Amino acid sequence: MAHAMTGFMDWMENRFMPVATKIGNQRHLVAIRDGFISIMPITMVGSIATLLNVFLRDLPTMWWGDGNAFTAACAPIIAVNGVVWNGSLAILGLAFAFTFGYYLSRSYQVNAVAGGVIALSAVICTMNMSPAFDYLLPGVGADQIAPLQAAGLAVTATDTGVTLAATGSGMISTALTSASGLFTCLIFALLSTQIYVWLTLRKITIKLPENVPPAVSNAFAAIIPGVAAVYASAIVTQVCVSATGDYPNALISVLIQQPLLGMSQSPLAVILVNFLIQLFWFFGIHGSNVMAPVLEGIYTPALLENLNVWNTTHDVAQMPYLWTRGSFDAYTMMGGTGITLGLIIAILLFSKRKDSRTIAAMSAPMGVFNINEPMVFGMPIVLNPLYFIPWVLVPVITTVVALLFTYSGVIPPCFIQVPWIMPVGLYAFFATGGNVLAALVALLNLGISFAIWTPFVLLANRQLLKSEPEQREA
Amino acid sequence: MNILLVCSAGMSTSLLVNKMSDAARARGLDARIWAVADAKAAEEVKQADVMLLGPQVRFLADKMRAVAGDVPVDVIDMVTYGTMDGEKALDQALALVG
Repeated sequence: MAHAMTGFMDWMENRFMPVATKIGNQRHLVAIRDGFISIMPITMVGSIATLLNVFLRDLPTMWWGDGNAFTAACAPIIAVNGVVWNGSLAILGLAFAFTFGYYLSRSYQVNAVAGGVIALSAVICTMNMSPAFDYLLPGVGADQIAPLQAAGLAVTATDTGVTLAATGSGMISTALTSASGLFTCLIFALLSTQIYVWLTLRKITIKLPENVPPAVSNAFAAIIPGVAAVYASAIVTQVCVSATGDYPNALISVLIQQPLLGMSQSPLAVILVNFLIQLFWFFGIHGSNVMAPVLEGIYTPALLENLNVWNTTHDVAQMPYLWTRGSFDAYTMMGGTGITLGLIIAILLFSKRKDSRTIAAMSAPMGVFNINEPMVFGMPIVLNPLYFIPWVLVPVITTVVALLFTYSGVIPPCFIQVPWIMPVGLYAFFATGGNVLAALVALLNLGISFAIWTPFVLLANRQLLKSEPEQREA
Repeated sequence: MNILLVCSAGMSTSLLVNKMSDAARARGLDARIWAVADAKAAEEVKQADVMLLGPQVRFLADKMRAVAGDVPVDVIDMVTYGTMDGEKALDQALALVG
């Protein structure tokens, strides 16, 4: 029996390792992951600004009403936070275009900074610089609409006043540069970087004599590939505008971004992603690292889009995505994947095994900050049939619990980016913009994990009793 | 002696770094031991004499060998890693350098 089990484990590992290796070596997926991870400083500062305004403006307004003294006193800080948003979340798509182009070029070992700059330029080529928008006419009342319309002006009455449909020039809408334009940034950064890399690697470049300093010849080397890459992006954009009347982002957003993010929102997809992360980890492979293209490439944009919606509407009910990147960390990975914090508590309370207790005691301080490799490899959980069932069951059940609370509207979706080492409860609290119920759901899930892990800790005790006679024989 | 440890975020290996540094100090070895995320490994390996991967990123071993050039690369044994056994991990690093 034990032999058959080992054979099965070997068979599974031989199936899994190549998949993990393939994903881990797929340079585009890795560049997407690293591109997203390296814009973290600005998504984080934008998250902090948003969170500060939640505590200075949004929550006080909810408690004490509009124009309360506290919020009024904080007005200068609130204004600064708004300015921070302009420089962070509003332009994160542009930052991503650069970092993605940078990492992709670097993976081909061509000039990475040039690759990043070219990607940024190519992405901006796709943006409408004459956006249409509604201009709020100051001091115009609803009663003046008729004469204005008679004069041929496109005015309409809205909740906030009378607006005039206008077209700007020389400006880019933040709808294109923020999270809602992310996929356009990704696609055109990919296209242009690929052209740049392809031409550079084929040496379709301007060649200078040997004795020219490398910095100079590098700059010249980027000219032809860079021109081709940016022109390609510009031509695609112009063809798109001529053929459809829309800029690329309008099409990409409807045809790619929304369907892809929409698909990620089905409960089945969320459970599947969690299940796969666990399965990889069971073979000792870093599941979140392997699944990062999905986590960072799909669930992170969903979170950032929610954050965007929050900053314009201040209404959690209008957020388009219920399950985002933060939801995983908030509700299904406390103490590390498999909610091993529950296992640590179960062991410290019930285990009679010295080996388990030693590992759990050593892991506890790290577990508080969601690091659990010592548990995974030390217990070990990896390839250990005893722990397979709870290992897979815990994230699936806690996902369902969190999904039920979120989809029913009891707790808001996660929309603030929080460092993944934030302890249980606090993560959910901050990620949902200071929602206490969300923190309680996280604690409830920790309790569920504890309840699921406990029987298996007791089982491990029994296994020890059984194996003792053998040990005496040896 | 420069020993580079690599894992996904560089967080969990940083504890092993401490244990290995303690072990090295106890043996009177002059060793610089540090941990980085896999995305940074290619740059950091230039300053290393040996690179050890956390077992959870062992699927990156071939890729890391490619970026490491002449620097020997190996995966830390799972039990050594799980128990954060600095002595054994240090032995493994020393054996690789030879």
